[in-house]
Amino acid sequence: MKELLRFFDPTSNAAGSSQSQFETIPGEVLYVPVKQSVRSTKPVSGEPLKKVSEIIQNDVLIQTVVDNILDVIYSFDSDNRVSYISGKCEEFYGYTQQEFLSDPDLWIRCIHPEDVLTVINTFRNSALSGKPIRLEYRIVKKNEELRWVCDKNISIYNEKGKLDRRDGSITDITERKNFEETLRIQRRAIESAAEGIVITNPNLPDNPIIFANEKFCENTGYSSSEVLGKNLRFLNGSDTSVVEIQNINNCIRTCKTFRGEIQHYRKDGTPFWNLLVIAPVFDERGNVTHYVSLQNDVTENKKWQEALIANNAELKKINSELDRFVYSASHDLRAPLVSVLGLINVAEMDTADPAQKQYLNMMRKSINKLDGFIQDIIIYSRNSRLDVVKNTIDFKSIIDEVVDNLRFMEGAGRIEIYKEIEYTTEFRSDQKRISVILNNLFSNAIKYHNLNQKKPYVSVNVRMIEGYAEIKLTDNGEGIAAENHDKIFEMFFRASERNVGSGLGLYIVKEIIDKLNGTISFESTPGAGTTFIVRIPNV
Amino acid sequence: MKHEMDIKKYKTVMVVDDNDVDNYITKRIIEASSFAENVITKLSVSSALDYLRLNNENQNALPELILLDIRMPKATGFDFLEAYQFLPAMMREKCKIVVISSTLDINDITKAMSNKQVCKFICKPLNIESLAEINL
Repeated sequence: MKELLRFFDPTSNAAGSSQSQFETIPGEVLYVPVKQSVRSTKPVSGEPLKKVSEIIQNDVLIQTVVDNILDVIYSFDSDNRVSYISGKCEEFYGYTQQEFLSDPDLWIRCIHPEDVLTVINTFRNSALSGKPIRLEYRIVKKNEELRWVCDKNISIYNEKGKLDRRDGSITDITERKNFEETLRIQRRAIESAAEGIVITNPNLPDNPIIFANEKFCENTGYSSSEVLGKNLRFLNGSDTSVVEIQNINNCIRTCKTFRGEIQHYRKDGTPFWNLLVIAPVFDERGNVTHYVSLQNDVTENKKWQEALIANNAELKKINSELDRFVYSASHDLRAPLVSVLGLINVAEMDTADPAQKQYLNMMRKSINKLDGFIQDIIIYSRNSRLDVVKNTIDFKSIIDEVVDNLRFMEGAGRIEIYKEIEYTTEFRSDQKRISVILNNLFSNAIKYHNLNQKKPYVSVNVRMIEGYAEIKLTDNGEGIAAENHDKIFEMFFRASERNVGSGLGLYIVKEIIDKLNGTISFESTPGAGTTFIVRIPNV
Repeated sequence: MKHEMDIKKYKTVMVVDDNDVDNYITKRIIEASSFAENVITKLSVSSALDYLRLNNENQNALPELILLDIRMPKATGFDFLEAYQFLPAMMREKCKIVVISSTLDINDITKAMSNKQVCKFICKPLNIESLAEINL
């Protein structure tokens, strides 16, 4: 601090430069012509100058008035040491009058370290020039709270022209400073926003632009000075939608917010798509004072959007073509197969030769396998493309139908089927898909039943658990070898050596269950049997 | 034949199908099971409709049962059903329609089943068991 005090010597040249937040305003508030000021404190009798402190302290009325003033009133001696400070100092600094008077450098230590150099430089310069000063700087209170103050003072000289003292006042301007800071941040945010922002004033003729930020200028190619004072319609051009212009005008007339995409034109004449929001700003009485317009160049998005729409239409077309192709192809593939099956039926009627009957039966098996494969492909294609339908599920009738359809399968006759369906609440899901799941699981259980098992069976149990239907299908069939457990749901995987399936059945089951947001698990012991557990959520 | 006793007998059955192999099979199965005395096969919807219109007055020539395919070139089984409803009521009252097709298109099957003139849907190939299920 001794170091700093050196700067107060009016003859010293070791001062730093002043900062921008500080200003010296000649003639401001406390401007009092130096001579008049000197005279005012000079007794008529020609006695030496009285100290301010003495004058105030000797007059109770003046003292009361000074202490009641909302500012801190002070007087420093020629060495800038406190010779008087008014009662408000306790509120401003947290230190009492006595503390300031007994420690005359205390006020300097209260100045924020970053500001202290500028304060003392300004004081020094004003002592030389004699001009009053007005200075804004930060102080740190006793409780370490930071406040902004405005210090206004004037140098007082004695008859010999030497600096006698400095009289001044300190005002707390923290709130104003905070407000200014908020305003500055907001302004900077608006200025540097990634969206074009324009403010117009509808109370001036033709609702002119009174503010346009950098992004707006960048988007449109106009400079700020070119757009100020103009109505926003200068962005319109030949392809601007007349309907949208009308909509904007209607919104402005009815003080409503406009939102829309509109084709606008840059200064160089190139068009762009502007995603535009124009919103009214109301005052406390509900009158519209301004319109704020947010603008975004969405030309690129628009291109993507159009490409997406075109792509989507193309995909839909391909999808429906594929759909028709799958059905037509399946029909055209199936029709000859079905004819051959019919011919096998006829040929069987016409022969009594056991060998021929055996050949015909083998032909039928091969054709059935191919037919099953075609049907699986169609079911797979249906599941992946069609939306889930919600029906009330009657498990009993679905299971009865599935079992009935499978009754001609090889071995089906000797397999006992047990059904246990125990639920009372309504269950909703996709009936056709559930039917396909059950059909595949049942037909697997029949296909892969254990040939050595004396009493082969398949049992199905359906029950409801917390919003799920649980279907448990158990058989005592040939089972699945442990090394195949993680493969059975793969496409074209066939676990059994009995070459009867397409390798699609369980893959389709898994796909369908995924589509229904359900789960499937199983336990299997080779030679003992398999249990599948399917859970389908109620929808 | 073992199923002969269960099978309902018709006097005249008309088969409308563009596939002549299937028509041969249908005819042979019908004959073998004595399902009908006469089988009239028509390879197109138009020839079938022509036959029905021509024999409007001739009760003996009219079928009691029509086995109708769906997927046929030009006019389909659905076109036949559309035209059929405008034939004389007298003829229609005497005659049942069973759709017989190899289609797997669920839409075709539902559409056929929902037509009030269709009594049954049978999957190809036709065999004696499925004929036995026609019991109208």
